[in-house]
Amino acid sequence: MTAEDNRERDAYLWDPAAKPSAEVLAVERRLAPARFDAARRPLMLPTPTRAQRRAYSRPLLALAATLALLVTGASAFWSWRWSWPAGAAWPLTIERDFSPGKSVTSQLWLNQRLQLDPTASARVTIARIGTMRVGPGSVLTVAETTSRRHRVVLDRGTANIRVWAPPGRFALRTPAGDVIDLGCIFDLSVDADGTSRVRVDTGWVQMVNDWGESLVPAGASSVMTPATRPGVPIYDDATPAFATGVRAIERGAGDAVRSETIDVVVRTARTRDVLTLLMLATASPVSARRPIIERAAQLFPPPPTVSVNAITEGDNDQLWHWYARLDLPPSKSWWLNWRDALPRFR
Amino acid sequence: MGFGTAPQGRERQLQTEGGPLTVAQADRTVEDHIPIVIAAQHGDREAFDALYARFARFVHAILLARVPPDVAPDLAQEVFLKAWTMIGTLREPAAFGGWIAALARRRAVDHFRGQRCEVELKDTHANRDAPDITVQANEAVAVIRALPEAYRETLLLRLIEGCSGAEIAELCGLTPDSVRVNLHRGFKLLRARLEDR
Repeated sequence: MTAEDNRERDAYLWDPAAKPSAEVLAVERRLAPARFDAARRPLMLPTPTRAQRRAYSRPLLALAATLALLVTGASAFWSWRWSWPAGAAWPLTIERDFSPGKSVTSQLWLNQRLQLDPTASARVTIARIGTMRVGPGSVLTVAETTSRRHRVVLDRGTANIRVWAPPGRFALRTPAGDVIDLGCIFDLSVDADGTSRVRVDTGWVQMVNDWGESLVPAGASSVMTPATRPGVPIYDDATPAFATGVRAIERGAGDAVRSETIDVVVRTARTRDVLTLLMLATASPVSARRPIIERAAQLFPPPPTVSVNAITEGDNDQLWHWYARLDLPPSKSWWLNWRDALPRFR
Repeated sequence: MGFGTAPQGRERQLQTEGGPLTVAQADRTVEDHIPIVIAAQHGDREAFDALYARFARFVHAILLARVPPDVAPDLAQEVFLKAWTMIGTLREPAAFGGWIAALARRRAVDHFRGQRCEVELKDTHANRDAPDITVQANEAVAVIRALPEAYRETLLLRLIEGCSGAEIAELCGLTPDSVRVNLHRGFKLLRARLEDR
């Protein structure tokens, strides 16, 4: 046998598709009758076994079990979070400036007045729905606490509130009016004269008193005094001239001053300030609306079904259609701010 | 791997005394079987039939290395019937080849466990009434079974079932070099023993 024959044999042994080697082919032919032919020996399979059915249904069962567990867990968490024994005390932690590491834990009872001196601040747990950081010098009372309503009176001072709950479940009463949480994080301060200021981080806050109401979205601020309707929301990044002008118009400046101020407001308004302009228009006399509305229409044109003229003549329904087109956080979707429920306090 | 199904790679027909023999150079890898194994685990009979068509010769060769040729085909089918009832317990579909090989080896052991007192008949005697070509084939198989263990499955897979060296390496979990050496040395030894007879 030559070296070429050996190479050919080894190549064919390795790969049956290679050039056949007579030597290997002879053995293959001899062994061929022993070859297994699956086509001539079909399998007669019995019905699927329990193990197979289990293998098939295992992922579905696991998915169903996981979903059931999630629903049960969410439901349990949901009812636990919102339930609260009527009148039960809220956990309270007081810290002092001169000993920041040392804190005193206590409880804040219903109708008990929490009066902080200028060196103390407090962290109050609002039932199970949120937390509230109360600043130095604040005076605060829990007026009502049940599973459905939690009401606090803030006579003066500052509070940073973080709540994750359906709208209206938590509210603060101030000398200027009520500040109602609509599911968000916000700051509230009450001056010695009763003026209340709100700055909203996430979600919405409603300010309401005997004179009217105002809805303040995330990123905006507003102010409320005992003698006036709540101010329109002004975004915190608006120009100082715009913000000052809007508040001046709200305070009811005389006609001459009003005209000049409106000019400033119209000139300094940005597209984002259309919200403020529309709200300012509703709070202004019909005679003063036109320049405000026209500027708003330049910055953010109303939908075709809305007539600017009708609005300037006092048609507030059409104004609200326009308002609905603004890029604002959805007021009803408080649950989207679920991050507010995470255990963090800025 | 192209056991019994339409070959995917190069192929050629060999005219043998036992009829046409398709030899395929398969291009498939173990991963190609994963969806089929998963379907079979979900009770898909056609998928399991496809596995049978692809792996039956592999299982048969493993059995043939251990049990007489007249028993091996029936045992191969038994192995697949058992696999059908147990495939739901196979956790890793990619391991189907190794899993069914283990079932086949275990079945071969079980076959002899119940027959310890019996003397295994020589293949030539057991097939006294069989045609000459079958007798000759069984004699050749008996020679292979008498070779060192390392060569048996490799030679049976190659010479009877028509697997390529690459397929054998993948199926048996050997390196291609080991398979090449086993084929080379095993075949030389086989030739020598056949000539001695």
